[in-house]
Amino acid sequence: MDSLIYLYGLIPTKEAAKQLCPSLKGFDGIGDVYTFPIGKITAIVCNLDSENYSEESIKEQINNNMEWLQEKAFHHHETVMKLSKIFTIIPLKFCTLYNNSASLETAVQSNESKMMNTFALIAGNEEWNLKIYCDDQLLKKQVSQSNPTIEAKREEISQLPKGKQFFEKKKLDKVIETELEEEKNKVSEKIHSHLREFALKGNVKRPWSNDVTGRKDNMTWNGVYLITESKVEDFLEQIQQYEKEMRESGWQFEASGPWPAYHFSSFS
Amino acid sequence: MSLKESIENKDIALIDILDVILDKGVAIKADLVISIAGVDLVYLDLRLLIASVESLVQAQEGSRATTVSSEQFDRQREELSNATSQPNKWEN
Repeated sequence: MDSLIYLYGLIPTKEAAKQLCPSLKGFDGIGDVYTFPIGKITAIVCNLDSENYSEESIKEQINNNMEWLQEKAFHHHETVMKLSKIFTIIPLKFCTLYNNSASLETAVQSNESKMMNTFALIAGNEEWNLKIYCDDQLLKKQVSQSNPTIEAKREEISQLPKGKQFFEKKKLDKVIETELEEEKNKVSEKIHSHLREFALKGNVKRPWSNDVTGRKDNMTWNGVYLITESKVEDFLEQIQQYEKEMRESGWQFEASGPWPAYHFSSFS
Repeated sequence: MSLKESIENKDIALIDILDVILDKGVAIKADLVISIAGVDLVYLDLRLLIASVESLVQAQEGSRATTVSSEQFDRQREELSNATSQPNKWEN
């Protein structure tokens, strides 16, 4: 039976020597996860039967078997999560497979210096995600009430004949929409740049649509931050502070973490 | 309990996991990696599918549930496997 090698992540061999890898079941639920040292870097892997886990069969499962994908995605994530609590880990993409150990060795060896740099960046730091949501209706009220231009315009419209009022109101609605978007961006960007002060790095991701989140309020910000462990609590307290101050005006904050450094481990 | 601990213990939604492991995990030269290019379309479909599962869960549980947690998925899996009367491979 031929074995493929499934790669979960990479850790510094120095750390692997100090601390045993916990006993974890592999991707197929049968075999075990084990360490595979390649010089300064140790790969965390498991074996997979090449017939059951060929490219075609994995693609087939991903496309047509949601349950399989859920199970395996959770497995991959949970394995990397557990390891990230013990080791500095570069998390690999879901379903990264090698035909044999020689091929894995080549891939790791040819990226060794970049990987070592990445370890240096992420060691002792945590990745956190912050999603900011906003209830547009609530904020719209505030925007349209507190904006002098809009108030003046509204006053002007009320003096017009009925027929004209309709079209002018439509125009005004558009202006309010634009103001709302600008206000949302301005507020979110300000928060981001403030939170950025707690972090070593901060990246902005595309916010998700309501189809994805399944929520009524809109996601206005999706940011990821790499934060030194000792500063995480301050970072989260600041978010809690924002939440307290802004909840009533329709803002919600959702922080999640610590994540394995998915967004700060890439090297190109 | 610190803020960190309370957030750490929250369930993470599948969509958050897929977002990072399909999109952001490190890709190094591999014999096979389910690549972004191949996954992008699937990924879009998935998001829709997950969103629909999510609204289903919400409809069932009222407004309390805002994210699909692994616990909720576990329950659904259980129901599915009970319905098909297969042995439950999800149980520990």
